[in-house]
Amino acid sequence: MAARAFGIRGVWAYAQERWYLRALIGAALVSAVLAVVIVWVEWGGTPTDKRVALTFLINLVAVIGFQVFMGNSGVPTFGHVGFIALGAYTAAVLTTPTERKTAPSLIPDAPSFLLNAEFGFIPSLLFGVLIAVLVAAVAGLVIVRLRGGSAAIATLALLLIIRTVIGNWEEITRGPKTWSGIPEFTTVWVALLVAVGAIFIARFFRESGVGLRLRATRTDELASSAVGVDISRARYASWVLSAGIAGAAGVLWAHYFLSLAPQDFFFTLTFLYIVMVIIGGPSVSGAVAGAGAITLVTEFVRRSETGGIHLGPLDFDQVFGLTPVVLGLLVLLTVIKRPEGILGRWELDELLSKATARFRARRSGQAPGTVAAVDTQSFTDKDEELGAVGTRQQERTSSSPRRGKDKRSHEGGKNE
Amino acid sequence: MPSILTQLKRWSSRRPPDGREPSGDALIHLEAITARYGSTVAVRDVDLTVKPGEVVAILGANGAGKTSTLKAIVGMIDVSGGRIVYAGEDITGLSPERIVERGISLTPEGREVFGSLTTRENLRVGAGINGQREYPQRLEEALTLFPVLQDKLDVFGGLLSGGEQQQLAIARSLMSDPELLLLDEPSLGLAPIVVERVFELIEQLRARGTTLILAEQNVERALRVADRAYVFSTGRVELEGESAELRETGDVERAFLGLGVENGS
Amino acid sequence: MTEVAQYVINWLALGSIYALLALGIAIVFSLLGLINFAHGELVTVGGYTMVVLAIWDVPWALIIPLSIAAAAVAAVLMERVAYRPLRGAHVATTLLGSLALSVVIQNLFLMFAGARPEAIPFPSWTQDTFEVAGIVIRTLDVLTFATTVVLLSAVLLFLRRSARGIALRAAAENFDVTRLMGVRANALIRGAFALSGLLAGVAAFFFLATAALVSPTTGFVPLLKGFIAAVIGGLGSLSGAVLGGFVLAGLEVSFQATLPEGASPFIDAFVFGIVIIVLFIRPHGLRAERSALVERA
Repeated sequence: MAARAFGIRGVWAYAQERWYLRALIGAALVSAVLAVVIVWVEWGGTPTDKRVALTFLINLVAVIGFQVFMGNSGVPTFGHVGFIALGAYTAAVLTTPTERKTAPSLIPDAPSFLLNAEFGFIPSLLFGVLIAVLVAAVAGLVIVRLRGGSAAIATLALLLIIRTVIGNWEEITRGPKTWSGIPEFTTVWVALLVAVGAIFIARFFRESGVGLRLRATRTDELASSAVGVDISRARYASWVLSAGIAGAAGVLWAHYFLSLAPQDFFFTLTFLYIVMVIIGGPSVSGAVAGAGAITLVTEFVRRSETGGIHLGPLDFDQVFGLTPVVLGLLVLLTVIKRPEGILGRWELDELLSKATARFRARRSGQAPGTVAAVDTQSFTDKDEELGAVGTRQQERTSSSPRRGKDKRSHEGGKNE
Repeated sequence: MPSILTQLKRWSSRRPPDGREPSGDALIHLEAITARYGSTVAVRDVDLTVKPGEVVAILGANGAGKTSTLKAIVGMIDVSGGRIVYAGEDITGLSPERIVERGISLTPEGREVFGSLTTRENLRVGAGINGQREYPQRLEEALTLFPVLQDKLDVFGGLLSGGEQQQLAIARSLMSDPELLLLDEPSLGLAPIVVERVFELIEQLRARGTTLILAEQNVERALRVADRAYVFSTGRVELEGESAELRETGDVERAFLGLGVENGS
Repeated sequence: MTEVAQYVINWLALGSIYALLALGIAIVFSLLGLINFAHGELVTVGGYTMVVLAIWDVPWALIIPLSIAAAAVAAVLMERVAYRPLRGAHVATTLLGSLALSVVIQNLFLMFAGARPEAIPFPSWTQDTFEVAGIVIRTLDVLTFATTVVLLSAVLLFLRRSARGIALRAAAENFDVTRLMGVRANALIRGAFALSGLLAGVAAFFFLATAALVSPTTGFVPLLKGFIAAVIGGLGSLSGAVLGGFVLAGLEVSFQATLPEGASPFIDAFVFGIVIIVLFIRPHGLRAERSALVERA
């Protein structure tokens, strides 16, 4: 195959066979699209547009954090907003000017090493990620061993724990009170840089050995463990990595919105991000697409609502509540009709590959899907689902929750 | 969920304008039935007839389509082609609840008794919500037929032995007083002595006048108790005939393996 | 000594509310493998119904049953609109759909009722107290516990003895085979949801009676408590849910009693931590609530 490495087609085929090149090309592709959009907005957009774009980038980093875990493992996480909170508060505590911190209104009783800390952006980012990763490393030991829906519940419990601790640890976080006065480091280019970094990391993870093994468990837990995949270990890797990315999002958040409150990082935000992941689908490109799509929808709905004041971080207008309804309905629609999201399960470059292969096959008169049609594709490292019977059967809710032999026999409305 | 078009087709084909249609003397008749799980076709173009009081065996290897045929009859899987006529009525596409109401009952493969319910409770569920009035009487009849259950009435279904579970499963199906009883591999996984007992029971049921369709891999035993038999292979009927005849020829083995037969249908 | 008695009464009353909520969640879960995140919204429905009926000067003797009925109806509607299309879907999908439903309902209330909490004019006897051996007891607490005991016994009896109840338990174990017995699947599921709604409606009355306020986000705490209690008891086990309710209440009351003042806001964190530990120790996963008595092949 590599012998025919002349021309674009050959190079593409060559690259497809090597996972790191695939990851590189794929991430570069998506990042390029992203960069183009951002530049376009910066060049010709209104201040509101620019604000939306920056918020979008911060949300994107967060969603990629979700995706690295949820998209690859198939386990929903309700806890990642907690990591965002950890990143944000770490950034806040470590970078807010000392005089502000020592003032009686903020955190005068904090340990002095915290009071004296006045770091710049890079250390802030590093520490934010570090704290998130540490907490994730500990919690993950338990969480990744849970199977079925228990894991999701445990992530929910984690969110609650983090929320409760941050919301009550007055000495360090000001407890339930708003923290303000964070230095502004996040510009659109900083955010773009972090976002692109996240895209590359996420994509490399997805294509790597660990990522592949993890994705196998998403499709079929039993089968993958039968071929020796250690589910817990694979999940642990993605759990910790994703927490780090979420922490980075939190740092960006803190340095953009400049003030924090514990309730910012709770169910409302969780819901928003989960919607984005669901709509976009479990791939990295999907995360980008989902974040973008939902941002557009939210903006559209908001501009249709009359009046109301839109404060800072929350994308929902609490007075009207229309936006969440729309989003909620979108989620319901998506999970019912197209559970794999906008892009199916695929990355952008994978979709392109498939489209060109089909186009080429049709041109040469062969039916797509036959062996000849995949002439230029490699069989290595692709997780193509060949439609084996039974791969989608695991973990279904209901109608036959435990032992029903025939999962298709649950036609509720038949001639009732 | 079958498409609107499919549902319309079924609905319009259900009753002929002049009411019940003549079905000869068949109790149940499957006509060109095709059934599938998703995109996998399990049963293809199958014709099958059972007369009242008959015991008909469906034979075949694993995956031949025996269970799927029974499930199609009882409405558990989607029928994508053909129709099923029972006692003069087209029941294709009806939900299992409706079909059970009409007098068909399936004892599923692997018995599937409710492990967390007692024997008594299992039987009670078998009678259905509407059968509660007749329940006490049918319970007695069941215990007469299956005396081994008498002592186990308050034992959890999950604690019974394989043979007891099989008897419970059959008894449970009988609680709805069906006209037509479908038994899916009743001998599966049971010791030979127990298998004997089960087939004795089947004989008794036949003697009572219950019509039976029996899906089995145990060809020898099934042919002894059945009047007629169909042999399935990869979803199609390869061979059918009187069981006496079938036992003579070697066609059954060939049909089992899908090798094609000399005198088959 | 009187303090201990006080704590016990608190525990019993709180445990009752949690048990009712947990049972409602567990019933739906055991039947469908589905966590109804919108269960909390049933309490909100009950609350707003009370508000509206009170505005119309309906006597409380009627308001109570009507608000309970409203919750039951709302539950059935949820099933029809959101959960029926999701039957047979992947566990994660249904979890997310359930979450979406909860958010949608909450925000619908927000849109139509406004964010401001509404006062519920509970009858004055809910504030009454009486004294026994030097201990001050709220009538409400006694009523909560007594009603719960009666209601739970009735439900338990129903599940153990009646044909429908047995069918429900059968369906929870093996839905398809239950259909083979001629039991109407949809009616059964509807009934289960209605029952969970009823339990939520009753819980709503007792839960809301203390603060006497309802807002769109009221449902969040009942959901959380009910859910945690159900998880502690082992999701899918009905008796476990009831037990879990009392265990959760017990944990909360004892933490409150024993921990130093400064730690009290962190009680919740402790409890959540315990939830994770419980999940870990009983790593059966959400689906494995088979009875220990598994049938042999």
